[in-house]
Amino acid sequence: MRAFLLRRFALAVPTLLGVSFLVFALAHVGGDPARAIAGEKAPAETVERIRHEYGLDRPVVVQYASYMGGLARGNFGRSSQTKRLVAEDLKRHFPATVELATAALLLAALFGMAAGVLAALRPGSFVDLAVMSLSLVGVSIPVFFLGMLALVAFKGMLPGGGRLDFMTDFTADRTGFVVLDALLSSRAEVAREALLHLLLPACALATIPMAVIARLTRASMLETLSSDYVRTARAKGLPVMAVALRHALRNALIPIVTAIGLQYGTLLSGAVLTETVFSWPGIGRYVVESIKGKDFIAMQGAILVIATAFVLVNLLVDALYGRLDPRISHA
Amino acid sequence: MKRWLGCAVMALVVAGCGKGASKEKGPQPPGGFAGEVLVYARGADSKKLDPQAIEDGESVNVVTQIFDTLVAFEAKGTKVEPALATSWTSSPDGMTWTFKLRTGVKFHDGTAFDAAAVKSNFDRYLQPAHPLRAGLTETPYDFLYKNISKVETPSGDTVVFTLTEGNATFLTNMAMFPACISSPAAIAKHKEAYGQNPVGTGPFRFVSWEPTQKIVLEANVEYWGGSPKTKKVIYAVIAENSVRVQRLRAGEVHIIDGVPPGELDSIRADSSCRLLLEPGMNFSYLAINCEKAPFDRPEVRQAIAMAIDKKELLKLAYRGIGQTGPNALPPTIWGYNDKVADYPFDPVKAKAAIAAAGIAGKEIDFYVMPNPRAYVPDPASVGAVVKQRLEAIGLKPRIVSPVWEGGVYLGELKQGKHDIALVGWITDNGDPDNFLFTLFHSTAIPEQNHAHWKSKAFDTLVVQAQKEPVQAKRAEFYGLAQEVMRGETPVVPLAYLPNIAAIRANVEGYALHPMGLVRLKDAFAKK
Repeated sequence: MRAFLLRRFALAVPTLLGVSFLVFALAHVGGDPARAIAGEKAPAETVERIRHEYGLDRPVVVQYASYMGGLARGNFGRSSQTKRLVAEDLKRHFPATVELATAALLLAALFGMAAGVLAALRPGSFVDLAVMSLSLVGVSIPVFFLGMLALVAFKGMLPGGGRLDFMTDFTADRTGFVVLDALLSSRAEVAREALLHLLLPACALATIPMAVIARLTRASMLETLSSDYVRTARAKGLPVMAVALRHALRNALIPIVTAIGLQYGTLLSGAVLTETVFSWPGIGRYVVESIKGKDFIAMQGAILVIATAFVLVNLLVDALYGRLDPRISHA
Repeated sequence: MKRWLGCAVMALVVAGCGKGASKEKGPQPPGGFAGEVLVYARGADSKKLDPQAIEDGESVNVVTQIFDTLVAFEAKGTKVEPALATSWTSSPDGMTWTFKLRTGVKFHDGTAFDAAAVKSNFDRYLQPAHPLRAGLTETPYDFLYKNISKVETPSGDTVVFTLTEGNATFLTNMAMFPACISSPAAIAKHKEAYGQNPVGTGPFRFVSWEPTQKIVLEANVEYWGGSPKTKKVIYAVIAENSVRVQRLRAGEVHIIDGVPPGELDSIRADSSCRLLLEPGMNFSYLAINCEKAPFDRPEVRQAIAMAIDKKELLKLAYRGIGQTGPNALPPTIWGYNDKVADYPFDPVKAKAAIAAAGIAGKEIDFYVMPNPRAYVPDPASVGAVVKQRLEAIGLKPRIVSPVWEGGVYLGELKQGKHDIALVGWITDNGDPDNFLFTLFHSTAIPEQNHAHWKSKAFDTLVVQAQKEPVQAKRAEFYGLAQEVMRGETPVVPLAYLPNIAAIRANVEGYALHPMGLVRLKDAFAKK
């Protein structure tokens, strides 16, 4: 197992290097970063001066090497748009995305798996039909539209966006997770407020993964429920639910865990639309804003963090296989 | 596992205990504040709060509350009035300007505002090797101040500016945001991070900034112009336009800008909100590329002007708000020539002119920006309506929409790739020079002169106006310049739009400024 993990870690390095080079190269296609920094109204000589000061007149490979050299020393650089340290921005935005993605995934996994199991136990029943239809709607409905609907429906009842009310005076400066930081600072009312703020965006963001998980759980469970050992267990007189949850579900879990892992990776890359509708200060919006401003130092740092998160989540999923099914060996 | 669940349940139980934050008491003005917190929501966050380093409206909006300039634009117009300077004089040739400064004013960090601070600010702005310059690589508006050759301080409350040449716009430029005065001590202390820790003398002091979420300011009760009426201002970011309207209507915020035209009716119908509409100082126009045949011929450009039904365009693509006119500056700006007649909508005559020029069926590149701008909220609709009208006179326009960001769109206009382009402008300083010279003088090719138009007669008039100190005489020059433009038709002005904001019904003391300036000193949400 340890050898497997080390091997996967070693493979992650060229993957991340590849990502970093690709992003760096893409940042230089279309548009002029020097013009973006100088501003629309700046005269041409100012643009040229900035190109020189930022080193943008050097060959791309040299710029890349210099950036990677900084990164090796833990220096993500400064955003050209805001002059803030990119590392500090990422410390603020990435936890916001992790908090939202985790809440959404918990909802999706819990309700998706429950719905899938219920549907699989009575195939063709009303419950099955309802789960399948709703999950089809869930997969198809645009998150943006759903978010707007939720805002209108819960106007005045639930907060319409952000991690906290605008008037709340609290900064999540310990872990970056507002709920956790509020509890650590004994600010229970802030934690409660943060949970309420999470509710609508997490529900909106959970719809697609929930629908995917429900459909996958149903399919996987149906296959497992028709196996011999399940029939034997039932013949021995074990209750339906015990067989379904204790025996069948565990074996049906492998494709579901894979799906959950992939969904989590996607959610961690920032749900731009949900973040926009609900004014969530996540990494997705950060990337979009930096692309819009040709702020490629900020963009590069954010995409590297996202790519690393994606690789780690996949690694975790691979490691989980062995726990779920001892027959799988990573040797 | 059970222990974790227990902790989570405990946390939720504790969390349910309600709010317990105590109200902090800070300095109060005599008689107290009329309002506690005022939440102003906008579509994007500020980038930096160093007045010399910014150009985006969202940064300017906040900087205006924290800083003062030597002179300021009056509450409802473009005339300048005293601010940090109580009086000023200029030499007859307009080359030397002497400002008498207000005494007893302090920056928010407690240091004194004086002539040395003013000199420090301008030296930092204009001298690339200045010691306070750390981190200030870009100064997007410095071209407006390049004519300052020297700043001297004969006494603690007197500053003298010497210019390289007389320019009538000098005083209005001194009222603009790049001329805001920062605390030199704070610049030296924060260095590269000064843009996140601004210190001025303005009505509000900077408190905190959660990027992409909110900026918090608090009242400077010792403000020389009187204490603000609200204790705290929060600039909140709500990126999506319709969500911003939604949250105003839900009472979560007090003032919003960037109101989408499609939401105007819903706000009007909601008694808990009020819509503010005031004529603005912007315009959108079609720039016709005068360097490219067949548009190098005035009669072809005039045919384009006659092909557009501006009333129809205003109704279909601008939702009926704003007005149209013949001139390349809005009627709210002094110097607007209301005697210039617009080309009548005459597609028959236009079609005949196109046929006579032998260009019927010609394919042309019509540039339309892909994103909304404040002066054209729905460029795609403008593009569609204009395209249809150009087709009706026998041209074959192809809509080209390169991305706006990173200067791509404007970059292609600079290269002259367009035949016709949709562009626009919002005033910087409320002076006609900022439209006519900045956008159409031949030296503005290729930067801002998107029509690539050269006219000696026009150039002479706008330069004469620039050097003339008497406003009435300047207005005469600008009036003539507008007549020259009408004759040569390098552009087709489309619409002048109002500034729009929406507020909660309990907000008082807030009014829109024609230049789009946001001033919150007298605004408050009634308790």
